[in-house]
Amino acid sequence: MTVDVLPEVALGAAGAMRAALDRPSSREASAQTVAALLRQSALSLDFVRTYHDSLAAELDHKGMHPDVLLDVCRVALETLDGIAESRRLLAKLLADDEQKAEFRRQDELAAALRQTFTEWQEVLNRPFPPLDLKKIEEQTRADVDAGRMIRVETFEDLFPSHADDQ
Amino acid sequence: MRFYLDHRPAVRSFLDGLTLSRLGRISLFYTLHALRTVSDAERLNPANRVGPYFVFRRTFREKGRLVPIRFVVDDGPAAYGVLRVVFVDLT
Repeated sequence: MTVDVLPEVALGAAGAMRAALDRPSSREASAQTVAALLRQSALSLDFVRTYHDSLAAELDHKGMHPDVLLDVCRVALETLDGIAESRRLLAKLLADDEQKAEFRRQDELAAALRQTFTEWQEVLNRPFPPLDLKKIEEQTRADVDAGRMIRVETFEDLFPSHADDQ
Repeated sequence: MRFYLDHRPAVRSFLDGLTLSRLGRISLFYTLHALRTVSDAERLNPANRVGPYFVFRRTFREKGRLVPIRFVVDDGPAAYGVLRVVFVDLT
Protein backbone atom coordinates (compact mmCIF):
# COMPACT_ATOMS: atom_id res chain seq x y z
CA MET A 1 0.00 0.00 0.00
CA THR A 2 2.71 2.46 1.02
CA VAL A 3 4.69 1.74 -2.11
CA ASP A 4 1.82 3.21 -4.12
CA VAL A 5 2.22 6.58 -2.45
CA LEU A 6 6.03 6.73 -2.46
CA PRO A 7 6.23 8.34 -5.94
CA GLU A 8 3.58 10.84 -4.85
CA VAL A 9 5.71 11.76 -1.88
CA ALA A 10 8.75 12.25 -4.08
CA LEU A 11 6.83 14.25 -6.64
CA GLY A 12 5.20 16.28 -3.91
CA ALA A 13 8.51 17.07 -2.29
CA ALA A 14 10.25 17.84 -5.55
CA GLY A 15 7.30 19.87 -6.80
CA ALA A 16 7.03 21.94 -3.65
CA MET A 17 10.72 22.67 -3.62
CA ARG A 18 10.90 23.44 -7.31
CA ALA A 19 7.94 25.78 -7.02
CA ALA A 20 9.63 27.60 -4.17
CA LEU A 21 12.99 27.66 -5.89
CA ASP A 22 11.62 28.80 -9.24
CA ARG A 23 10.26 32.00 -7.73
CA PRO A 24 12.23 35.06 -8.89
CA SER A 25 13.09 35.84 -5.31
CA SER A 26 14.49 32.38 -4.66
CA ARG A 27 18.08 33.51 -5.07
CA GLU A 28 17.54 35.51 -1.99
CA ALA A 29 15.40 32.95 -0.20
CA SER A 30 14.94 33.82 3.41
CA ALA A 31 16.38 31.64 6.13
CA GLN A 32 12.82 30.71 6.99
CA THR A 33 12.10 29.48 3.47
CA VAL A 34 15.27 27.42 3.36
CA ALA A 35 14.48 25.97 6.78
CA ALA A 36 11.00 25.02 5.56
CA LEU A 37 12.44 23.36 2.46
CA LEU A 38 14.94 21.47 4.60
CA ARG A 39 12.07 20.23 6.77
CA GLN A 40 10.16 19.16 3.67
CA SER A 41 13.21 17.25 2.48
CA ALA A 42 13.68 15.65 5.91
CA LEU A 43 10.04 14.57 5.98
CA SER A 44 10.28 12.96 2.56
CA LEU A 45 13.41 11.05 3.50
CA ASP A 46 11.88 10.04 6.80
CA PHE A 47 8.90 8.64 4.94
CA VAL A 48 11.20 6.46 2.82
CA ARG A 49 13.15 5.39 5.91
CA THR A 50 9.96 4.42 7.75
CA TYR A 51 8.91 2.43 4.73
CA HIS A 52 12.31 0.73 4.60
CA ASP A 53 12.00 -0.17 8.29
CA SER A 54 8.55 -1.69 7.79
CA LEU A 55 9.89 -3.77 4.88
CA ALA A 56 12.82 -4.94 7.00
CA ALA A 57 10.41 -5.96 9.76
CA GLU A 58 8.28 -7.91 7.30
CA LEU A 59 11.37 -9.61 5.84
CA ASP A 60 12.48 -10.57 9.34
CA HIS A 61 9.04 -11.78 10.32
CA LYS A 62 7.66 -13.80 7.43
CA GLY A 63 9.61 -13.03 4.27
CA MET A 64 8.36 -11.48 1.05
CA HIS A 65 7.92 -12.54 -2.54
CA PRO A 66 11.09 -11.45 -4.38
CA ASP A 67 9.20 -9.92 -7.31
CA VAL A 68 7.17 -7.75 -4.94
CA LEU A 69 10.31 -6.65 -3.13
CA LEU A 70 12.09 -5.97 -6.43
CA ASP A 71 9.26 -3.72 -7.52
CA VAL A 72 9.37 -1.94 -4.17
CA CYS A 73 13.13 -1.36 -4.56
CA ARG A 74 12.61 0.16 -8.00
CA VAL A 75 9.94 2.54 -6.74
CA ALA A 76 11.97 3.46 -3.65
CA LEU A 77 15.04 4.27 -5.77
CA GLU A 78 12.93 6.36 -8.15
CA THR A 79 11.53 8.16 -5.13
CA LEU A 80 15.02 8.85 -3.82
CA ASP A 81 15.98 10.14 -7.28
CA GLY A 82 13.06 12.56 -7.16
CA ILE A 83 14.02 13.77 -3.71
CA ALA A 84 17.68 14.09 -4.77
CA GLU A 85 16.72 16.25 -7.72
CA SER A 86 14.94 18.77 -5.52
CA ARG A 87 17.76 18.64 -2.98
CA ARG A 88 20.27 19.63 -5.67
CA LEU A 89 18.32 22.85 -6.08
CA LEU A 90 18.07 23.32 -2.34
CA ALA A 91 21.83 22.87 -1.91
CA LYS A 92 22.42 26.20 -3.67
CA LEU A 93 20.41 28.11 -1.11
CA LEU A 94 22.05 26.93 2.09
CA ALA A 95 23.38 29.90 3.94
CA ASP A 96 24.47 29.10 7.47
CA ASP A 97 26.43 26.26 9.04
CA GLU A 98 23.40 24.86 10.82
CA GLN A 99 21.54 24.43 7.53
CA LYS A 100 24.59 22.90 5.91
CA ALA A 101 24.99 20.43 8.77
CA GLU A 102 21.33 19.42 8.52
CA PHE A 103 21.70 19.03 4.76
CA ARG A 104 24.73 16.77 5.24
CA ARG A 105 22.81 14.66 7.77
CA GLN A 106 20.02 14.22 5.25
CA ASP A 107 22.56 13.36 2.55
CA GLU A 108 23.93 10.59 4.74
CA LEU A 109 20.45 9.19 5.35
CA ALA A 110 19.60 9.35 1.63
CA ALA A 111 22.89 7.61 0.75
CA ALA A 112 22.29 4.86 3.33
CA LEU A 113 18.76 4.24 2.05
CA ARG A 114 19.93 4.24 -1.55
CA GLN A 115 22.68 1.76 -0.70
CA THR A 116 20.27 -0.62 1.02
CA PHE A 117 17.71 -0.61 -1.79
CA THR A 118 20.48 -0.96 -4.40
CA GLU A 119 22.01 -3.91 -2.54
CA TRP A 120 18.61 -5.56 -2.20
CA GLN A 121 18.05 -5.08 -5.92
CA GLU A 122 21.40 -6.69 -6.73
CA VAL A 123 20.70 -9.70 -4.52
CA LEU A 124 17.21 -10.14 -5.92
CA ASN A 125 18.48 -9.97 -9.51
CA ARG A 126 20.93 -12.83 -8.89
CA PRO A 127 19.57 -15.82 -10.80
CA PHE A 128 19.00 -19.20 -9.19
CA PRO A 129 20.95 -22.06 -10.77
CA PRO A 130 19.11 -24.15 -13.37
CA LEU A 131 17.02 -27.01 -11.99
CA ASP A 132 17.71 -30.63 -12.84
CA LEU A 133 14.08 -31.68 -13.01
CA LYS A 134 14.83 -35.26 -14.02
CA LYS A 135 17.03 -35.79 -10.97
CA ILE A 136 14.47 -34.13 -8.69
CA GLU A 137 11.75 -36.37 -10.08
CA GLU A 138 13.81 -39.54 -9.64
CA GLN A 139 14.86 -38.70 -6.10
CA THR A 140 11.32 -37.71 -5.14
CA ARG A 141 9.88 -40.94 -6.51
CA ALA A 142 12.47 -42.95 -4.60
CA ASP A 143 11.71 -41.13 -1.32
CA VAL A 144 7.94 -41.37 -1.76
CA ASP A 145 8.05 -45.05 -2.70
CA ALA A 146 10.27 -45.82 0.30
CA GLY A 147 7.99 -43.88 2.67
CA ARG A 148 10.78 -41.47 3.58
CA MET A 149 8.82 -38.21 3.23
CA ILE A 150 8.76 -36.19 6.46
CA ARG A 151 5.66 -34.34 7.60
CA VAL A 152 6.79 -30.89 8.78
CA GLU A 153 4.41 -28.94 10.96
CA THR A 154 6.39 -27.47 13.82
CA PHE A 155 9.66 -25.64 14.27
CA GLU A 156 11.15 -28.81 15.75
CA ASP A 157 10.06 -30.79 12.69
CA LEU A 158 11.86 -28.35 10.42
CA PHE A 159 14.98 -27.79 12.51
CA PRO A 160 15.50 -30.92 14.64
CA SER A 161 19.05 -29.85 15.48
CA HIS A 162 17.90 -26.45 16.74
CA ALA A 163 14.71 -27.23 18.61
CA ASP A 164 15.83 -24.99 21.50
CA ASP A 165 15.88 -21.95 19.23
CA GLN A 166 12.16 -21.43 19.20
CA MET B 1 -6.89 -23.97 2.06
CA ARG B 2 -4.22 -24.95 4.55
CA PHE B 3 -1.82 -27.59 3.29
CA TYR B 4 0.25 -30.17 5.08
CA LEU B 5 3.89 -30.03 4.03
CA ASP B 6 5.87 -33.18 3.39
CA HIS B 7 9.60 -32.71 2.90
CA ARG B 8 12.11 -34.95 1.24
CA PRO B 9 14.76 -35.90 3.82
CA ALA B 10 17.42 -34.09 1.74
CA VAL B 11 15.37 -30.90 1.87
CA ARG B 12 14.98 -31.03 5.62
CA SER B 13 18.67 -31.83 6.10
CA PHE B 14 19.59 -28.87 3.90
CA LEU B 15 17.39 -26.46 5.86
CA ASP B 16 18.43 -27.88 9.24
CA GLY B 17 22.08 -27.57 8.24
CA LEU B 18 21.96 -23.96 7.08
CA THR B 19 24.22 -21.66 9.06
CA LEU B 20 21.61 -19.27 10.36
CA SER B 21 21.12 -17.29 13.52
CA ARG B 22 18.21 -18.17 15.80
CA LEU B 23 16.22 -15.26 14.36
CA GLY B 24 17.12 -16.31 10.83
CA ARG B 25 15.75 -19.81 11.49
CA ILE B 26 12.56 -18.38 12.96
CA SER B 27 12.21 -16.10 9.94
CA LEU B 28 12.77 -19.06 7.60
CA PHE B 29 10.20 -21.10 9.53
CA TYR B 30 7.54 -18.41 9.06
CA THR B 31 8.61 -17.92 5.44
CA LEU B 32 8.01 -21.61 4.80
CA HIS B 33 4.85 -21.42 6.87
CA ALA B 34 3.42 -19.14 4.17
CA LEU B 35 3.58 -22.11 1.79
CA ARG B 36 0.90 -23.84 3.87
CA THR B 37 -1.58 -21.15 2.98
CA VAL B 38 -0.38 -20.34 -0.52
CA SER B 39 -3.19 -19.25 -2.78
CA ASP B 40 -4.27 -21.22 -5.83
CA ALA B 41 -3.64 -18.06 -7.83
CA GLU B 42 0.05 -18.10 -6.91
CA ARG B 43 0.37 -21.87 -7.08
CA LEU B 44 -1.21 -22.19 -10.50
CA ASN B 45 0.30 -19.04 -12.00
CA PRO B 46 2.32 -20.19 -15.06
CA ALA B 47 5.10 -17.82 -13.98
CA ASN B 48 5.54 -19.99 -10.88
CA ARG B 49 5.53 -23.36 -12.69
CA VAL B 50 8.55 -25.31 -13.88
CA GLY B 51 7.68 -28.59 -15.54
CA PRO B 52 5.15 -30.33 -13.27
CA TYR B 53 6.32 -28.37 -10.21
CA PHE B 54 5.25 -25.24 -8.39
CA VAL B 55 8.16 -22.97 -7.53
CA PHE B 56 7.63 -21.06 -4.29
CA ARG B 57 10.07 -18.16 -4.01
CA ARG B 58 10.51 -15.98 -0.99
CA THR B 59 13.11 -13.68 0.53
CA PHE B 60 13.92 -13.32 4.20
CA ARG B 61 16.67 -11.65 6.19
CA GLU B 62 19.54 -13.18 8.11
CA LYS B 63 21.51 -10.74 10.26
CA GLY B 64 20.36 -7.90 8.04
CA ARG B 65 21.38 -9.74 4.86
CA LEU B 66 18.78 -10.57 2.24
CA VAL B 67 18.41 -14.30 1.53
CA PRO B 68 16.39 -15.36 -1.53
CA ILE B 69 15.21 -18.95 -1.24
CA ARG B 70 13.46 -21.23 -3.72
CA PHE B 71 11.34 -24.25 -2.89
CA VAL B 72 10.38 -26.68 -5.64
CA VAL B 73 7.05 -28.19 -4.72
CA ASP B 74 5.26 -31.21 -6.08
CA ASP B 75 1.64 -30.14 -5.80
CA GLY B 76 0.29 -33.32 -7.38
CA PRO B 77 -1.35 -34.29 -4.06
CA ALA B 78 -2.70 -30.75 -3.47
CA ALA B 79 -6.25 -32.02 -3.88
CA TYR B 80 -5.61 -34.12 -0.76
CA GLY B 81 -4.28 -31.13 1.15
CA VAL B 82 -0.61 -32.09 0.80
CA LEU B 83 2.32 -30.29 -0.82
CA ARG B 84 5.62 -32.09 -1.20
CA VAL B 85 8.71 -29.93 -0.87
CA VAL B 86 11.12 -31.80 -3.12
CA PHE B 87 14.00 -29.37 -3.61
CA VAL B 88 15.31 -26.17 -2.06
CA ASP B 89 18.16 -23.82 -2.84
CA LEU B 90 19.44 -20.31 -2.21
CA THR B 91 21.13 -17.82 -4.51
